[in-house]
Order: sequence, then structure tokens, then C-alpha cells
Amino acid sequence: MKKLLVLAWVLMSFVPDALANPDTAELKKVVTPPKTIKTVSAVFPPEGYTPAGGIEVVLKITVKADGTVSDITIVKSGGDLFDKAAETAVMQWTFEPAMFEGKKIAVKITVPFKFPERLKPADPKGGKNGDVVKPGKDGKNGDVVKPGKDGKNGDVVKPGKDGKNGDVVKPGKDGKNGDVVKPGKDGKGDGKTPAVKPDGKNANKPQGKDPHEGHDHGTYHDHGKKLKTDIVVTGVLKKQKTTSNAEFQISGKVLQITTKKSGGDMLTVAPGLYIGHPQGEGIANTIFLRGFNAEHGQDFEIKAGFIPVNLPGHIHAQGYADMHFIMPEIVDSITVIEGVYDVTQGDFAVAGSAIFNYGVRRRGTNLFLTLGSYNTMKLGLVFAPRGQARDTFAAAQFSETDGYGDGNRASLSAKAMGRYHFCIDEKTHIIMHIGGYGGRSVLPGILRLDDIRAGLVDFYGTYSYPTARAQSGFFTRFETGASLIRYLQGDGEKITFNTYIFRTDSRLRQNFTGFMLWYADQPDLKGAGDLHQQTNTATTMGGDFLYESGNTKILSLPGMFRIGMSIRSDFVDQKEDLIFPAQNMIWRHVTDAAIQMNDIGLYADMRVGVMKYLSARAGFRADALAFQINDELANRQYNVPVEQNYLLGYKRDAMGFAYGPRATIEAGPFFPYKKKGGLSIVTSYGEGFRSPPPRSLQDGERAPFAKVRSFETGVKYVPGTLGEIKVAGFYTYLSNDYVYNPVTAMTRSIGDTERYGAMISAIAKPMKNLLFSGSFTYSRGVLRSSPLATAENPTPGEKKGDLIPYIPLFVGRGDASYGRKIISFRGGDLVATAGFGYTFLGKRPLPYAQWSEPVHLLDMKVELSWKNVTFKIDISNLAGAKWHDMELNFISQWNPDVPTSLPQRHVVAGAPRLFMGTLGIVF
Amino acid sequence: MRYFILLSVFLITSCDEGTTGQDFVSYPVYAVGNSQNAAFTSDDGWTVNLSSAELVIGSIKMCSHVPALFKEDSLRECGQVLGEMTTAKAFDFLSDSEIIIGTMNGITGQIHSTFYNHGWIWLTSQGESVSISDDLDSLSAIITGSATKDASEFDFELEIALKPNRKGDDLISGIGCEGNVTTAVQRLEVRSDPRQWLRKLSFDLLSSCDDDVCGVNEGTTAWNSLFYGIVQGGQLEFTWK
Repeated sequence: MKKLLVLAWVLMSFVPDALANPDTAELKKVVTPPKTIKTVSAVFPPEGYTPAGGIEVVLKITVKADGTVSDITIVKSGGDLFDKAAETAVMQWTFEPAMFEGKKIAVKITVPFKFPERLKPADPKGGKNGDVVKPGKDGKNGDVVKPGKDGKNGDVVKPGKDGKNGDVVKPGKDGKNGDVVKPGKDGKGDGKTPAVKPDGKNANKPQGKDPHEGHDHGTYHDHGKKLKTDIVVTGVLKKQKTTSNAEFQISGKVLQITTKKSGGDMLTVAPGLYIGHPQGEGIANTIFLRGFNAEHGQDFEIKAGFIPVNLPGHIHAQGYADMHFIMPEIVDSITVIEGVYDVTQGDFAVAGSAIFNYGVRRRGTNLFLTLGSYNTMKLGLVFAPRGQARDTFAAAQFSETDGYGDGNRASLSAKAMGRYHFCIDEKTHIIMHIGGYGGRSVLPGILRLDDIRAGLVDFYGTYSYPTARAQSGFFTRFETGASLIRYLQGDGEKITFNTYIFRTDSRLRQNFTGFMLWYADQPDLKGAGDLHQQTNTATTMGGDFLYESGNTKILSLPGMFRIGMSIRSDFVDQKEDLIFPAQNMIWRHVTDAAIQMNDIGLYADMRVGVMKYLSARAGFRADALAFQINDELANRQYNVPVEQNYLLGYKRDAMGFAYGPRATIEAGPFFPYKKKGGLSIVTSYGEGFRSPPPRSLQDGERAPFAKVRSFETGVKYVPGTLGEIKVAGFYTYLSNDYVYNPVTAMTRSIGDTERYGAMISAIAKPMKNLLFSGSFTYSRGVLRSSPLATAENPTPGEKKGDLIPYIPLFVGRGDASYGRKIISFRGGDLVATAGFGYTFLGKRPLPYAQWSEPVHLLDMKVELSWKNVTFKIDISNLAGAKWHDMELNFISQWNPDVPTSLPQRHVVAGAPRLFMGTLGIVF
Repeated sequence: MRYFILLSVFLITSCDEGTTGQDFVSYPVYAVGNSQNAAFTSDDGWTVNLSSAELVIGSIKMCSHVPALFKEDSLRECGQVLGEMTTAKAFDFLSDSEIIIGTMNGITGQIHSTFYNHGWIWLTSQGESVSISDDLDSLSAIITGSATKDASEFDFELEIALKPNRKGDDLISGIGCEGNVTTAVQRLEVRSDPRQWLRKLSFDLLSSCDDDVCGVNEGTTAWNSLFYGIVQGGQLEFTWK
């Protein structure tokens, strides 16, 4: 019996558990693939015949940690005879096992066997010699067909065209087995026997998506021939995680379906999350999520890489998080947790948290220029040296625009970031990081809706008073940091140490209320105008330490545990003045304070596989926060001559603890789809906190943290590689909530609140080149009781069950893209891609029984790429909707002759239809 | 699919209901007079019979703040404005009729204090106080009547313009006033007793005038007595119905 030449390639890929810090999780992707030690050729079945072109059998096997083969499944059948021959051969193979984090691991790979053409002799009743027997559906020889080419023994068969074997699939239950992806190089037979050879088309170039992909040269022996084959590690393997249903990994592919103008805009893809644009680049986005009005970040913790973005104690809003320094071009994915279920979530993780994971997949030097509506210009450069890790890059971008309106949204910005990921040895990785940003915008202000309707001011305009035209925003950020990851002896055991320092400087000049503010001790300055100037300079330094046990035993059960701590210190100088716009003359000092805050967080959790279909993660986090406030203008008493009786100023300190458990239980997966994925039931509970605005604290006060309790239960269904569907219901309780008060430009307490709702989300790749991501969330935020009485409002009008204003009850988002090759031209494929993004905002409840109109927005992107050149057109707000990005009800007095003191609807005009064209070149 | 769509439509249309706590309200303001308040005896023994007591009412602001008399600046705090009538109209508080003098626009809630004027306001944007009513030729009040004491009798016609004395201030600031305004409120009634306006007026002094009909001149003692009589003694009473 003739032996067949076996040529094989092995591909595999892994990304171990990306638990807390995606940056460090990236490092886990370094995997040494298995190498063949012994291969045995498959024997061509003597009774077997093939159709023209031969038959291919693809097997999926597990290469165990000891190098032997087990768990053979047939991915592609060639009929019983050929399947059996392939299985018999592969069972005799041995490998050097795959290595991961210094340990031998089991992986799954696919091995294709190609049986060359062997035509069945002609049917004596009608067929002729040379006719080919066409296999039936079951792979058996079937109909007689016309002969094809000569199928002599020993012919070298060309590799197949499909690259299906490279598909990435879900990991096995044990969290170790990886699936095999792309094939390796071609090989040749011995020229005498029918050759079984791998499908080598895809081996021409690495298909890796991972910067850490290794290029190992596996050696395969067959009949004394030594064939060198590239083994490409690619794709993704995820270890089993017990994560809340509210955790979403938003991939770069989904983020890029439509072009996102800023880091904040990228978050719109997260289910239930709406990003408001309060006027321009010089001011942070507002965030709405699951019934929370997170303001500028007070209820939403954000990290970019391993560096926090929120600024505690910011004068404009607690947790102020300006994301404009983040370039969408260097964000590889975003991890969003809606709720507080992971112990790594710290201060401000009330509605949830997000981590921007840096990375550039398309390596090389990418130079791009964007030109568009309202004289928008953006010039950018992303340098991502080939052969380096995905998160090694340098990027910069300059942009400017007149903005829509009458020049009242003009802005300039510049941002740059550099990141270098290198290895000292195979177990020690270091990431160095530096970034800078500067941006300035003219701000249009917030307009009264009755004035717009009366034609007193244009929808996109600004009041004509100097105090209104002088509104602007300015923000700078400089940051640097380093991350050290050391892999230890255990399977996945490692230590991560991050440290960072950053400095921010913000200045806001805003007048929301016109000419309303006055002070009894300055009667002559009534009507001077309410132009607030807020400055906030903060220097923050801190770091994180995290130990991860990797796979181990906990009470004889498989599991892992983590122990970590975070330390952070903020030094803030802040001032608020009321100013005349001319020459920036100050007519009233409102705030002049220096604040120091320290936050020490300790946390630990463990994950245990209780039984086959039940796993649990439980942990605890405790934070200690200390505040020192030097409030230079405190203790002011009206009508008491300051100089004669006392001096202004109030120094104080306060401290408090916040702690709580976090746990998730997952049952499943049941009902796997094609032996992958399946249906899981996930329930989570967690307690988190938000630190108080420092200047609200009294001396010696035990810092009254806002306490959040989140609960969520739902199901997720992962139908193999087709995508993911999640359905969940959630409830959140929050003590000591705050809402923004436009009159004072600060937040005010509204007491305890709660939210409940439900969401459905789906990511699907139903067919090649088609990608869909969508979600729909209903949430309802209500008061638990009436707000506390104050002297100004001893009988608050709000009561238990009243809706918290401004938060859309329904938020929907859908993104879809489709791309395909149009034509081959001059050695390159012209590929066209179209993407659409649809946003739905339901009616937003406003104070005083008002409701805003629902919003429908459609964005579109069309991209053409050929070789290294890309051209794309982006149209945002395709339908040209005239919509309100934000609405606020408050008292303002913009018309000096109308002495009204009643609240009115105020709106921020949403962006009109905008066109942008971008030309990019990668070299 | 059909049921899914129906359920979705049901949810979307039924789940976006609710209130944020307070509602906008609007209701008429009635001035209510009482002819029984025409006669009284002054402190200095004069029997006074009023024939008319016209007073301009407005603007009015209803507030959530509880005035704290020991803290002067608290009298300037309104807290949340729960009602606002920006117009002004004259009314004779000795008539037995009632008329609508304006519309109160506001929001629901518990009112604890009020700020108001008598036809003159001084906004922060204005260089001086201005009249917002032409009803009494830009005056705030015109009070006519006669006074008798022993054998002496004289007629009087008291005219006065009551102006805020500081920019941004109301004439009457932060006086107590309780009212629970709900969406069921149909009207606000305003009452005042003209006898209180003249409570501190010295009719002895007034009677010394040489004119047929005596009046008061700004800056005089009588004028001051009348001024404080109206803004302090004869404060408006508000009743929500």
C-alpha cells in the first residue's frame, strides 16, 4: 500500500484571560506553538477513489501537554475511508507541546490531509476508464463523472484555496485548548506516492492579528525529508472567564464601523451608553448610562491604558474625565463594565467603567489627512514599527475647525502619544508610555428654547452679549507611566506593576444664566453677567500592583485568585471667579482652594469552577480616602466687614472608608452551537463608591461616600463563532446622589436614587465581511425619597419615585459594515467597505414634567482601499436631523427686560450633517 | 416576530411615563376688596372714612425659601421660584368686587415666602427703577377720603410711588407666605386692608395742609409714614384656592 506524503502546518493562537488590565493581558499572548517531533503519513485507502482534484480531510486534534494527540474530531470529511486513514496517521504523531508563560499547555490545532486524485475505473455499463467517481454527500464514492486531469500517483497536488482552517473559534471548557487558525507553508511530496499535503495557500504570510505573534519554524519529518514550515500564531484564544454579563469587549472592528471623532465618541458603541457633547473639544463629554447622568465622569470610571482619566475634586464636576486626548486611531479595543462587578473598579465606577486598550494592528507608518465641513482639518501620523508589539507605536495629530454655527465652536487641538513595549527576557515585559494633549474651543453656550423659537437667537448661534461670546474651554494633559509584567512559575501566574504621573490643566469660561447672579455685599455689580471662569490644575501620581495566581486549586477546585492594590495621590489647585469678558476683569472671587487627596485601594478576588457547568467569582474591595482642603475663601459672611472681624479661609481635613463585595455566578454554557459557545446564565452583585466633592466636606468629617449597589442577572448566548447575544435585567441603588446645577455651575445633592431596567445586545458576523453590533437598553432612574431640605428649599418638590431628569429612558445603537473586493488593479485589490451607525435616544425626562423629543441619528462611512492607500468619506447625521444634544431646565435671564425667574428649557444644538474626507497612506 | 414587535411597541410607549417631581402651573390672580375696611379711627383720634384705596399690585414672586429674620441676607434669598407674575395692575381694595390682575406662572411646590412690588421694579439690567403700570399714572397708590376729629374735617388724596431702593431688589422682600401649590390650584386671591396703610399716618399733621385736598410730598414725614404703612403694615395677603 502506498504511503502518502504528509505535510502539515500547525497554527494556533492564544490570548489568555484578559482580566483586569488589558494592557497586561496583551502580554499573555506570547505562546510558543507545538512542534512536531514525529509525523506519520496517512495511507491512501486501497478501496478509495476521489473526484478530480483529490479529497481533503481536516482534523481537529488536541496536542496535550505531554505532546501526544487526543480528542480527534473531523472538521472536514473526505468520506469514511479517508477520514479513518487520516485519523490513524495523526494518532501516531508526537509533538513538543505548546508553551505558555513558561509552562506546557494543551492546545487544539487543525491538521488538513489532502489525498490526491485517484479516479475510479470506468463503469463497465457505461462509464469509461478515467471517469471520476464523485463522492456523495457522506463523503463516499458516488456518481460517476467525467474524468479530469490525469491523476497519476506521485503528482504534487496544488494546495486548496480555502483558508477555512484558520478560523478562530471559542476555547474549550478547560480554558486551555485553543483553536487552530491559519495554515502554514506549502510542501511537496516524494513524487511517487499520492501525496497528502496541507492546504498551504494561507501560509504565504502571517495572518496574525496579535503583535505578539511568534514566528516559529516548525520542523516536520516525513520519509526522511525535512521540511521547514512556518508556524504562525494568530487569532484569539480566551480562557474561560466568569465575568458579569455587563462586561463588554468592544473590538476594534466594531469601533471602526463608522469613524469616531474622539475617544469619547467611541464609547457610543457600548450598550446603553450615550455620550453628550457639551459644546466643544475644550470641555469633557457628558456620559449617560443605564439611568445615570454621569455628568462629566462622576459616575463612570475611565482608564486609558493603565492611567486613570477621571479627576477627583475637579472644580467643574466631580470625576471630570476629558477624553479628547485619546486618538481613536490607536485604540484597539474598549472594555466596558456596566455596573460595578469587578474588584479592579475603583472610585467613580458607579454606573460603570471603561478601559481604552491601546494598540495598532496595521503596522507601518500611517499618514492621514482629513478635510471636511466647516473648514475642518486633521493631520495625523501613526508610526507602528513592524515586528513590534501591537502596543508599540508613536502617534500624533493636529486638528482645527471653525465648527458649525457662526464661529462659536472653533477649536484647535494637538495630541501625541508614544508607547514602547519590550521584553527584558521571555518572562519580563515593560511598557513605557508618554502622552500629551492641548485643546482649546470657543463654546457657544446653552440657549433658551423660547429664545430660539422666538427668533432671538439662531439654533446654532450664541447670544450676542460679550459675556456670552466670551465662553471658551481649554484643556491640557501630560502623562507618562510604565508597566512591568513579570511571569512567574505557575500557569498564568504573574505580577503586574504600573506606575504613572499626569498633570492636567483646565480652564472653562461659561455663562449659562445670563445676568442673574449678584451678591448682597456687591450691590453695584448686579447685572455684571454670570460668566464663570473655572480653572483647575491637578497633578496626579499613582500606581497599581496586581498579583494573579494563574490556574491553581482553591479548596481542591480549579480556580485562580488575584490580589491587588492601587495607590493614587492628587494635588489640585482650583479657582472660580466671575468675570467681565473685557480684559477678563474679575468682579467676584468665588473659590480659591488647594486640595490634596489620597486614595488607597486594596482588593482581592477568586474564581472557582464549582462544577462542570457552574463557576463563581467573588471578591472584595476596600478603599481609604483622605482629603485635605485649604479653602481660601471659605467662611465668608455677608454684611460683616471682613477686615474688621475675621479673615477668610477654612482649612480642613476628612477621611473615610468605602468597601464592599463583588461577585458573579455563571451557570453554563449549555446547548453549545457546533460544539462551541453556548447559553450561560450570569448573575452579578457588587458594591462600589464615588468619592465626595472635597470642598463639600467639613473638618473631621467621615467622608460620606456615595455608595452604589449593583445587581444584574441575565443570559448570554454564544453561537459558536457567529457572535454573541446578551439579555439582562439590572438594578442599581445609589446613596447621596448628585445632579448638576447650571445656576451655580456645580453639583447639588438629591439624596438616594435607584435605577432599574433591561438591555439586549448582540454582536454578529453572520457572513463573511458582514459585521453587526447592536443594543437596546431601557433604564429608569428614580428618587428613593425627597431630597434633603435646605434653607433655600425647605420643602423640595421632588418625591419618591420621581424620575431623575435628563437621562434617556431608551438608548439604542446599531452598527453594521460590509466590505468586499471590487476589483484587482495593478497588483492590488480595490476593497470597498461601507459602514452605518444608528443611534436612538428615547425621550428624556426634564424637570417640571417636560420631555425632550426622541433623537434618531445615522452616521455613514464609505471606505476604499487599494494597496497602501485608503480613502474614506464620513457623513455624520446623514439625515440632517436638527436635534438637541443636551437639554437642561433652569433659570436664566438673558433678556434684560424680562425679569423672569422661572426655569426654562435650554438646549445645546446637536451637530448638523457633517462631511469628512480622509486620505491615508501606510508605508 | 409579530409578538416581539408588539411587545416592543408596548414597552416603548408605556415605559416612558413618569414625572420629575414638579409641574409647571399657571393660574389667575384675583384682587379681592372689602368695603367694610373703609372706616377706622387713627392713632391720633381722627375718624377716617376712605372713599377709594387703589393700589398697584405686581410684580410678584413666590418663593420656596423660609425667611430667617435673624439673618439679614436670608431675606434676599428666594430659593426656588415657585410663582411669578411680572405684570402690574391697580385695584381699589374698598370695592366689593374682584378682578383678575394678572396671571401667576410657576411650578408646583410649597411656598414659604414672597417678594413683590407695587408697579415699580428695578432689574439688575436697569440703571434706575422703572414703572411697569400706567394704571395710576405711574403711581403705586392713590387713597382718597376724609378725616374728622371733633369739629375739624378735611379731605385728602394721598398719592405715592413705591420704588425699590436698590438695583435688583424688590420693594418687599422675603416676607412669610404659606401656600401649597398643586396642579389643582385654580386661583390666587390677593387681599389687603387699606386701614393698615394709614395706620401710622399722623392726621394731625396732614390736617395742617392749606390745600382743599391734602396730600403727601415725597420726603416728608407723612410720606414716610404712608410708605412704611403700605410696605410694612398693609402687606398683601395671599390665598390659593
